[in-house]
Amino acid sequence: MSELDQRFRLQETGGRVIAEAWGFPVHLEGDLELCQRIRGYLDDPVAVLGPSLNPETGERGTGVLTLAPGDEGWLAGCLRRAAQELGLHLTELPLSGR
Amino acid sequence: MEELVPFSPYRSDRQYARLETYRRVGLPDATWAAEQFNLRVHRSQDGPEGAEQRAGQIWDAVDRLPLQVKDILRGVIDEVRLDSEGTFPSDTLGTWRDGTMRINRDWSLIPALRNHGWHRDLGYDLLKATLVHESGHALVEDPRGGVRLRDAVSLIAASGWLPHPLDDPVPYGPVGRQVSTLSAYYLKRLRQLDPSWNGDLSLGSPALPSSWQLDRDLMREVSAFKRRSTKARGSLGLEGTDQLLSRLRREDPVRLNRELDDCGLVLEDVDAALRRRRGVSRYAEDAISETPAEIFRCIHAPFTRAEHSRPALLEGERVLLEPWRTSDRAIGARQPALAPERPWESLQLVRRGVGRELGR
Repeated sequence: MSELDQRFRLQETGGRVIAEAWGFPVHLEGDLELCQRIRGYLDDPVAVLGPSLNPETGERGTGVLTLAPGDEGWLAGCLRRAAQELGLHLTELPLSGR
Repeated sequence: MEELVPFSPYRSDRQYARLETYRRVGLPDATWAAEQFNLRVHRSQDGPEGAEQRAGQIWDAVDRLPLQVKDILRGVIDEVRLDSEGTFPSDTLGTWRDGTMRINRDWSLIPALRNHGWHRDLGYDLLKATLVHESGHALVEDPRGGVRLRDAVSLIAASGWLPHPLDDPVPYGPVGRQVSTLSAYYLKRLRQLDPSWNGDLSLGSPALPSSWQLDRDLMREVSAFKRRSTKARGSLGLEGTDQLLSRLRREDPVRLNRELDDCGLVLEDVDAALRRRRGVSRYAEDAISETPAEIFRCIHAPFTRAEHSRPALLEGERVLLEPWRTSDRAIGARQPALAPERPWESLQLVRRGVGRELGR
């Protein structure tokens, strides 16, 4: 599933909204320079930890999965990394804001 | 009747000598693992070039683990096996089962890590995350210790697991505002499904149903494998907040508002409830039985930031760390041992005799 309807907002600590991102291909709106910097985080797949299970033995474990651009969770993963490294606050717009 | 969960059973007063100390005097890493952690070490023979070096990296990672995780390794894990990639399901970093931790010693063959930059940059973080997560399972589910079912349900409630509002509107009202009232509600409903879910017993107790049954009884959807192995007896139908938000976003807003209204809810209340508490990671939302171990991992090895999951982390501190910390304060701070402490033979005697040096 793509994240077509999932919309994110990036804010400075003080609360000023400086960028919004949604959809796939990703649409970015806001401060032009910042959007360009965020764009740099939207090229790569995202690696996430996830479960692994051997159905024959029942052995459970930890695995690593790749979220390709457009996969569910991919955009949130990219933006989380961007927010962390650019010192921004990431929020997800509410259901009623669709 | 089983006794209640023991007080921080894995906290011991023994010091740990560093791996570097053993290497300096020419002792093999396996001796360090045996003497410091009571661990048997098995390394499979086959494997690609460089496997030996990666095995050394695993012990480096163990050496740098937080003290609580070291205590769990010493108290719960009997054997560490460094196995080749072919013995694991695809993409697996490591596993834990019945006192054995298996680590995939060749991560470079895992598809997601074939990017050499990732392998180099993420290798240590992923290894630490794997060790801490699997130790979290051992802490929570080991029958000799573990956490009470009541506390495990608190961790689940604090991590934002909720039913669809049209299936069960109660958690979206006053009951859902506090973790304590929400977890009491979930536990009550769980006992209605099966009275053997006793909140005072350890999650790993043989008197409780299995962790798979916990998933089956609490979650909306479980994997086909788990469904086959459990009874069909109803479920609380809980979902992780990310999954539930995605699902609600796909629904027709007009119809959703009308149906919520019939249940006495408005969309803003649902939205507020969904944002009040969030899961600590995607992994924690995959299955309820993974949630406590992932909270433990996020506290000790925050590979991903989880600042939006503060209630889950606070509850994790209370349930998973505070008993150990209390014990740690009571016994006193430990300094690293300056030299290898005792010969392997005496450890074997301890193993064959009364068991571990727990709670001395």
